[in-house]
Amino acid sequence: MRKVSLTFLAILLLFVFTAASVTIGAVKGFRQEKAQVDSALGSLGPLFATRVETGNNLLTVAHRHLPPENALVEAVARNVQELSAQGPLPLRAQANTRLEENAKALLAALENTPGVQADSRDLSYVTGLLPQALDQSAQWTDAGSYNQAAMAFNERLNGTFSGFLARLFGEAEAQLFIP
Amino acid sequence: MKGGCVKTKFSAFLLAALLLAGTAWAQPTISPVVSDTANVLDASLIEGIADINRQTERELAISYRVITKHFLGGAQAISYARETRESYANPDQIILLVMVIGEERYAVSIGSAAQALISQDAMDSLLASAFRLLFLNRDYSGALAAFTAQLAGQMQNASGKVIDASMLYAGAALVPSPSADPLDGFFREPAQSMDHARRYQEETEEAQRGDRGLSIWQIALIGFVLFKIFGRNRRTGQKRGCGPLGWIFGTWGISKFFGWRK
Repeated sequence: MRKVSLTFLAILLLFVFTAASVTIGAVKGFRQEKAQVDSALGSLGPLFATRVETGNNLLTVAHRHLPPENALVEAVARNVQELSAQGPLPLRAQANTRLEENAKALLAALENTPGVQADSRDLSYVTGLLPQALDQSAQWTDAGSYNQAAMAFNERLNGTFSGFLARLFGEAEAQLFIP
Repeated sequence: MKGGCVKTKFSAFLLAALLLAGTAWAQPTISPVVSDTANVLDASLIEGIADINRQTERELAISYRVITKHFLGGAQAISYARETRESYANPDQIILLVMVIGEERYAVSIGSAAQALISQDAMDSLLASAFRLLFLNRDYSGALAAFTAQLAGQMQNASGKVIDASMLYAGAALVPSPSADPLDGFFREPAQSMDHARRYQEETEEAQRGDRGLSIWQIALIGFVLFKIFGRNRRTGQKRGCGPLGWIFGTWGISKFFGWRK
């Protein structure tokens, strides 16, 4: 009788320990994964500096050939300022997207100015180096890579049993950038 | 005997590796005399400046460095020059000229030991008289040659040591050639930016893959280990371990070891 009750207790403990093990593993594992996603997001911050640099360099050339009150010059200056601010990364990512559009429009406008056409050095900047740097920095700060990682994490969190356990213990979805 | 030989070889290898690592660690940052990332300087002028630098290092223990860049991305030229000089080995002995081509700006940062030979005021006056006009007229090689010659003369007068600047004018044709990697001179710290970009890429890929939990092989291994430890011995027919309790701790411990969660 005593042997049976001990076996029953042992089996009960087996279930308790296994459930605890799976739960702890789920919460711990998803926390680690979330930390990875957050770390990727953190790495994006310093890369925005290259976009700020590119924007400033573009403005340097633009100020030589266009008035400061030009709408595109003002727009790029505003985007650069938003990107430099120590605000939330999703907001900076949105500014980054706007900078891409405005910078391209400004480059096209600059290329057609008589001043740039008459200046071989600035023409080479406007048609060569600046677009190249804009593309390179855009590639470096591609928020799409982060979004894919965050979406994969959210899918795992919402689509698995261990994800359900992790959510039960307070693990939240990763933030996505809205373009 | 054979084991001893392997051990000796391994120790020798380890020692050599440690010595090599130590040597690499002790090596100071070597900066080129002229870092023409904007690619606007004549090759023979660069050689001439390297020659002047050899003389000033030998005679006065002062190093002369020149950097050309397209832009500084909003940074002040003097701050960039100061920070860059301070990142070199022996920054007190360095005179660094930074030429920012696309921004039409320049700056000189002088180390404290070098200031004994030329003060900041004297340097500013030298820049205004020998460098500024040619630089703004985009005669970058001409501006640098004239400035370096004046600087060499100034250091010669202050120290009494002979600095021969005749090499500077030899064949200084003022034709900039296309750069191999123009973006190198575009970003303030290209190597650091590329490093950040690489880390971001790696981290997003890693985060996308996620932790896939246990593989089928790991599950099989757990089962095998549990069986070997806690299962019944076939030869003797006796049980191993203490039945279900053994499984409890076995499952607990091994699942923790593998980070089991799926």
